[in-house]
Amino acid sequence: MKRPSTLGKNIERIDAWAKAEGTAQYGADIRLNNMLFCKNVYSERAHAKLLAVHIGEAEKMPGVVKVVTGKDIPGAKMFGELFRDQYALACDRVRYFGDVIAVVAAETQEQANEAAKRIYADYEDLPVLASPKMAMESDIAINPEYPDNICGEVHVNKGDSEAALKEAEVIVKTNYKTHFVEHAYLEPESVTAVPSPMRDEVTVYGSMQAPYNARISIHRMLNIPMSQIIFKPSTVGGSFGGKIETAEANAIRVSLIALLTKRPAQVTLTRDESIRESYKRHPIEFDIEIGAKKDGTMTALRMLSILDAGAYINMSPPVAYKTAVLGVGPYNVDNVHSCSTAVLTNNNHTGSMRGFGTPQSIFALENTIDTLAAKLGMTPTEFRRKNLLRNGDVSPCGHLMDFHEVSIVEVMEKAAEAIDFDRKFKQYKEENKDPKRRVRRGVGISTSMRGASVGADGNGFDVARVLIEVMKDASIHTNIGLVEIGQGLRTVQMMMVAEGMGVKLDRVTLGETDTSRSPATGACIASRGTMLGGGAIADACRSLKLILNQGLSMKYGDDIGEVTYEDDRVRFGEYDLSFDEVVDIAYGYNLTPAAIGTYAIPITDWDEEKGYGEPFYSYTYSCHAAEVEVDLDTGAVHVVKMAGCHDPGRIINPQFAEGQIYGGLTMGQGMALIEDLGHSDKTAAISNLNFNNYLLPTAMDVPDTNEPILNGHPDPRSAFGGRSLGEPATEPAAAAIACAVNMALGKPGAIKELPFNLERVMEIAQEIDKQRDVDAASAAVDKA
Amino acid sequence: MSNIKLSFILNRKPYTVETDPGKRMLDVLREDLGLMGTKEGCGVGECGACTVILNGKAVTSCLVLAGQMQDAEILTIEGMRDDEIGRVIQECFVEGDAVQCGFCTPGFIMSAYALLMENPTPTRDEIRHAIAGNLCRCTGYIPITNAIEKAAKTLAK
Repeated sequence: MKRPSTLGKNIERIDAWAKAEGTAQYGADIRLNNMLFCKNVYSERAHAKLLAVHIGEAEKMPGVVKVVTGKDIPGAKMFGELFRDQYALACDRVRYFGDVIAVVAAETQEQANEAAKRIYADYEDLPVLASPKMAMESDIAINPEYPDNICGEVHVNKGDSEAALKEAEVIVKTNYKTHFVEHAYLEPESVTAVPSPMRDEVTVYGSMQAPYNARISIHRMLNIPMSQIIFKPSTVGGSFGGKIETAEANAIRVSLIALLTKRPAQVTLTRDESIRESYKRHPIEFDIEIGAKKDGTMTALRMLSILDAGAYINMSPPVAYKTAVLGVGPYNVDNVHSCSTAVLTNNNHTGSMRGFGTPQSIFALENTIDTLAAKLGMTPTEFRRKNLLRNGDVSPCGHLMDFHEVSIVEVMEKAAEAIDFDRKFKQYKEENKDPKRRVRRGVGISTSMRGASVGADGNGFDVARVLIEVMKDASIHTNIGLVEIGQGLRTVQMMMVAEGMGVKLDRVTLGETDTSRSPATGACIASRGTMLGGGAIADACRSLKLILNQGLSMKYGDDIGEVTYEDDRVRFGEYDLSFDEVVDIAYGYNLTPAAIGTYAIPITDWDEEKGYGEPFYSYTYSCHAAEVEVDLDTGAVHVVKMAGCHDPGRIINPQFAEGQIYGGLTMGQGMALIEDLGHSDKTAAISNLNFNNYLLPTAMDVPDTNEPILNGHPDPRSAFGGRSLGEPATEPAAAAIACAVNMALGKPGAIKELPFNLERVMEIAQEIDKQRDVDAASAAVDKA
Repeated sequence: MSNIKLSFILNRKPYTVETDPGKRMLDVLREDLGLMGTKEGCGVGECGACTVILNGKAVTSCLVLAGQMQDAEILTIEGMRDDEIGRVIQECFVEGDAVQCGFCTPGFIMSAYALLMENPTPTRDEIRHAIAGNLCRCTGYIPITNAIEKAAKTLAK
């Protein structure tokens, strides 16, 4: 195998300078002649019939050019990628506080804001179902097509988990809950739609993670051909799965206004609006049972999970899929049952967010594993060492792991070593027994295996495409629709093109993402950008080389034999040509060195009915380890250090990979300890609508000693050997911290609900103190 | 409020604009002057994306009224390119991969600039203090701290 030329190097991010100089254009930076500024009007009810929307007064306000409501949408009224159940503009019903009932377009933002205040609606209240429990017990259907409010159910079955639990020598049973989490991309959504003066055509700019999905919705709802809906995403100021449906709803609304007024229209959400309208990470409640033999062999695992889908289905069924099939972890266990149920409520809808259902399940599972280990008298690492998957094992879902390096044990050892886990676990366990110690220490560890790309619930439609053209100057121009959202994907795409063509990197140029120039490629989601995009790039490069070879055959004869493209040279037989010469030859014979590359992930053998088989084509292995200090007097948790070790296949750009891990650890820390939307399970409202009360980790909170560890093994199932890292980098983090805090508090599972905030820690601290007093009293009695 | 004439030094050049003194400084920069490098992330002074330097101090421009710009010396991200210290900070951010989505980057660079003007040899803890008012959701802060530390070392040479 030839040595990779560009891959594995710290190539500088292609957009870093524009971002560092402040010249990169984000959605809200766009200013166009004659542009209208828009303001959304949100529902004042979480669940109600919408009887009338009164816009007359607003229409008369200064500067107002147009006010639109649901009635103005000419085509289908609802959108949604998998299930079309969401109004972009509410028509007859509102289902959560983030529904939009009207949009005002005015000459200035201030005028739009003022007019929006004059819009009001008549509602007929419906009971508010603010939790999955309420929704499952209610006879009111949020969506009439789902009378029991259940919108998704996925199960896994391997062996006979019930029988195995009966036979198990040691059993633990736990219940864990997680909460709504905000993506908290620093850039609030902003979308601009520009109508064509020539035809019914609209070009949409702004913060869009999934432009091809949005194109379909605008086509259906505004009745214009897909070719005349052009998406050119601006620089995206963070997304983490968050700039899909919400950005799409806003794109539909401003496109409607642009087409009706024949003027460009822009909407930029305030932070409060962004948090009010956008979807969140799913709150999930878990009931888990694990059985084992006395020697620590895990024999049975049952996991039931209930996901709060919120008001719209959004991505809930596929999130439930990942919760069910990845939630059972990277363990070698013969008897498994996992069932995830997604339930509609009147809460903010929940959808894609970095990890997609797994940060929650890993939190629940890994804490349960610690409980089991403690009961068996094993340390967390001893138990995991014994039970983690090895090469040739069958995964908990039934996947025979014989196609790449199953490195999870090695990955765990490296993460554990980075925080000196084994020594500290023993030391802290001893020292925490001292009743006088007010600051207790703990270490925690958590592991995961993450499916690369969509998985078997997307069998057959997980495809990526790219258009690559070798120009006459021998530059290689690439158009690909997988969007840069800050992860460095575009730079990586260029590196893969250079590798695929065997040329130096500076030949490769990359067009800005533009749906009119790049063939439909699905969204930059589901840990698929590098692997799927890479597959498409490799395919296009193969085609391009065949075209160039054709030119060589025309000039040098049909018997030129094998042609190699390497080190920016093209070699065959006796010949050693520069890439420029070869391109000249092709153009000289009027050939067209342009190619569309396609890569569809192979269909895996997954039996949905049984819930058994190959849920993904490949996996990334991860382990996070955390050390914390817990102050029993204040409830404060201080994170001392986190280490994240990952095997994402070939490490294509080490610096970017480390960047993902640093960021992922931090996002997990926020989820574990401080982030809280202040959701009411009575009114379905969220009260923490801005960063003054939705708290995020700052530079002062994040340990300066955090350590990313790369443990890549190139994957034979990926064109360039790389799988994914964006989601793996955050999914085990909250679990590792939670396990560490619980250890410090004396027992696994001491706290069972995220976030582990001051109140929850204090509650356990007070129990500890009470127990200490009881122990002291009984010791005194014994003495007496 | 009626418009008034505001005169100030922005990125070392004199400016006069006629604007509403009750506006936010952020809006004067972005809307009146078209300087889009300063970003709005929260509007309540919590995220630091709109950080600029006003009379030598890092401030969140969403909480500063336009009237306070009168006769002030102001630096924004647009002024960093031609500034010796600013340029080095930018270089270190780019080389150290302290930039991911980039939305918070101008604010961090301005906070770093204010720090290095006041304290050219900061410790890592001093750096973390100086950027504690800037939120970043992508980088986990360490690459940013590294970049600022490297900038300080480079400038000390």
